[in-house]
Amino acid sequence: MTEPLLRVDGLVAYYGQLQALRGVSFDVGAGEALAVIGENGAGKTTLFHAICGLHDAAVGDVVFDGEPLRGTGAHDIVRRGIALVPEGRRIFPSLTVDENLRVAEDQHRRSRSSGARRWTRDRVYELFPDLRAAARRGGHQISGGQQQMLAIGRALLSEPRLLLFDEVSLGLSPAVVKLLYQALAAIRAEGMTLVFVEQDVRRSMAFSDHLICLQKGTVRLAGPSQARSLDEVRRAYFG
Amino acid sequence: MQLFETLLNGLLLGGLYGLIGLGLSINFGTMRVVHLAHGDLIVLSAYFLVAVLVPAGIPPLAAAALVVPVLFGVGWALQRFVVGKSLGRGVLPPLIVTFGISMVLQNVLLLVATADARTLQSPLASAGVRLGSITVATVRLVDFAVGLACLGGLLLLLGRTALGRALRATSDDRDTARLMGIDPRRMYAVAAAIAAATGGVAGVLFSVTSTFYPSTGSELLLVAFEVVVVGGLGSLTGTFVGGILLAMAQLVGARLFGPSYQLVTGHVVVLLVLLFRPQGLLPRVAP
Amino acid sequence: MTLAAPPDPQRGTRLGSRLGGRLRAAIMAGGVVVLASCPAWGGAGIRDTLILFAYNAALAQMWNLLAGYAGLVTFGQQLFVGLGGYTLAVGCERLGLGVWPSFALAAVIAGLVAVPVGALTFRLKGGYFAVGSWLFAEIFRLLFGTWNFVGNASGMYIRPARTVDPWVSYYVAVGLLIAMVVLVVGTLRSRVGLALMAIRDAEDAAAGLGVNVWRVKLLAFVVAAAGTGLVAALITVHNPYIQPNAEFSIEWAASASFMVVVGGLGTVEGPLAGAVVYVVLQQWLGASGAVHLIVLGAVSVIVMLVAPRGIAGVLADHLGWTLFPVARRPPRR
Repeated sequence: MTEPLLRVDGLVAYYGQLQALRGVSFDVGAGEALAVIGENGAGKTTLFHAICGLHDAAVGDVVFDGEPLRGTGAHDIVRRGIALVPEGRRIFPSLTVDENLRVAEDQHRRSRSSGARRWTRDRVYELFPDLRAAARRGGHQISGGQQQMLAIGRALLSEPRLLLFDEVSLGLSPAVVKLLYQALAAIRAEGMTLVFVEQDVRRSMAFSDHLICLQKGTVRLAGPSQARSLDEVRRAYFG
Repeated sequence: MQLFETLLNGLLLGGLYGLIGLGLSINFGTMRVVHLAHGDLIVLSAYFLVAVLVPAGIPPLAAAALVVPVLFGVGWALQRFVVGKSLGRGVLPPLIVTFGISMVLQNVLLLVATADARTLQSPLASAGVRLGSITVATVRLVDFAVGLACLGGLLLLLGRTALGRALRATSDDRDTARLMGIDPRRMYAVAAAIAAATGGVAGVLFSVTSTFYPSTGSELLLVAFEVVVVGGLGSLTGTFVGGILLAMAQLVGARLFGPSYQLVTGHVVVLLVLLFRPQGLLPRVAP
Repeated sequence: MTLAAPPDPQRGTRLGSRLGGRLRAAIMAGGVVVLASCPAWGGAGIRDTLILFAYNAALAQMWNLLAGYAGLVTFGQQLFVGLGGYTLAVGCERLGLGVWPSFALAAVIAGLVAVPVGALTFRLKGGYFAVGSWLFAEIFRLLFGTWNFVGNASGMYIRPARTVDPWVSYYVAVGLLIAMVVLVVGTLRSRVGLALMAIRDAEDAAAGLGVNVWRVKLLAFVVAAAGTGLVAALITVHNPYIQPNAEFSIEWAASASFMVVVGGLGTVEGPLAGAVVYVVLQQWLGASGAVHLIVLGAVSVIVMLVAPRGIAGVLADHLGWTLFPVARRPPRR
């Protein structure tokens, strides 16, 4: 049995006095897609931040490719191969679309320089032709859908092996969402491991191999996506 | 014609004022820190030039070139080991820390270099250039040229290099910059170092035209502050232009009311800006 | 069934301190007795040191009111020191008003000037507000330095003040400090105090809750200015020579911020503790001069980085000791 690419082990995290994660554990195997389901406030974003190093976990650890991440700074975790597409996209407003991509690309020039880059700006523009047209525009001047594409492109340029995606379709039109999932499928086809949050429960079950349902900071339901019925998941979601 | 000469001198002096303000602007733009010791770093570089390098026999141009990397290092070290540790906890800690550094710098200079007035003796200081019917002090031309060159260099650095992109990203959104693989502490140290280096250039220019004392640091901080208020917090170019506007206002005031009213005119302009257009006279360039 | 009135947010909460109420009362009473009886056991030297302590502590309380409770960090407090001192000087020496009326007038003048100064500087945020207030002090320093009426840069002697008995100064100083502490504690425990602390902790949230942030801040600014002016007038009575460069010097802000940071920002005991440290340092290193200021600066930096809560904060955090508790804890279940 192969080691999981990502192992989350008993994560406990606080926001001030508020306990956001109460001991979350799960595994993700290489090449798999895990859907994280849960309503607002369940702890999904905190979970992602804790994995990426943006938030310190009080207890527990994250093991990535056999190496524990505890105590590693966020910028170093990126270099190890985890990238986050953050909730709200978080595009740099004073940089152009192209510069947003270059920021990620620049940092990666200096790490893991062995072998050719899998992702380049050109490849990102191929994946998202809309972005190529907008390359010179300010990061804040593009639409929500384009921002999401840009956020994905940025994450890819860090050459991750694990892609965390917080809120794929939130606030976006169905046409754009379809495009995004097509892109995600293409990314997955190259072997990317994916952990994602998707409000549309049906879609998240369809696109993932496994799912976990978070409620008030604990895992209420976990298992292969095919084996669970929609009802079961909805019940777990609403507690 | 006299007014034109005054305005021209103001434009040129503004190069120095703009340069003085740039350092404050860089620190604030990157880290939201109003660096209360910035003026003292400028004075430190002036003392370093006048009291250490020149008496040691180093030719003035080489000495001036040496000051800049030294100030870069000082700025970097102060940020890395002192100021950087006060970030992330609100407005007060960086203010207290930079103010403390200011007090220590000023008074160490006082102890070591005494309270005597200093200036750089240079034939450059009194030379003039005739442009038609008006005369312009050579140092003023140098001030402007150097100030403009520094602004240009900074804009190139920020706009075209990987470091510049990383700095801008960090100042936009620190956490997301971390997600790109950027270490914000390193960025802050570099930004502070660059700010100090511009202070070094300003100090060199300043030492040629003015007498200075250990306490001049506080005056220069207020100049930088006024430059930033007039120019607005929008951009480096805005700050530089703010310096030009402030210098022009000061020199016009001196021409109209007498030399002792130079500073006061500047203060009045700043008060008016605060009253009627607190965001600064120039439109914000970046969102 | 009628709806009950919304619950009073302060009802049922306790003011927290591990030192029991009776112990605290005893400490405070003891302190007052010691100070009040000073002529009986102390000579001129002790008296003068205690005066120094009292007015420094008072200045620190005012700086703390702004920085520790209203979130207004200012390096311009010396503006009101200068205004207070000069009001006393001009009132006595030029206008023949008498020492104590001039003393009271100092608070009024300082408070009045604080209104436009506050209104203008509030347009600046954070560190720029700190420097902006410093700029105003500088402007006044320049103005007073060129004003014939007050003796230009050479300043003035205040002859009427020299007839004041130092013990009278002493009681006024001590009384002023006690009054300020009472005022500060009383305010902080009231609704205004809650509003102030809400503004300090989260200004936008406070505004969202209906707190008129601007007015509360301006009120705090004016009160602190008036208090500072009053203390400055007292200092001038005690040292009756005034000069613009000294009176509007940044060193006032430097010492106030030092005392508050070292003593404990945002506590009532902090400025008192900081003033003790300051006075001790002064006796040890000399009243002014480069070494004194280097030590002030370096210690401020070190405390800010290593023990940012200051002496009073550390005692409160680790031992639960507070002499004037103003923070509220939830009711015991």
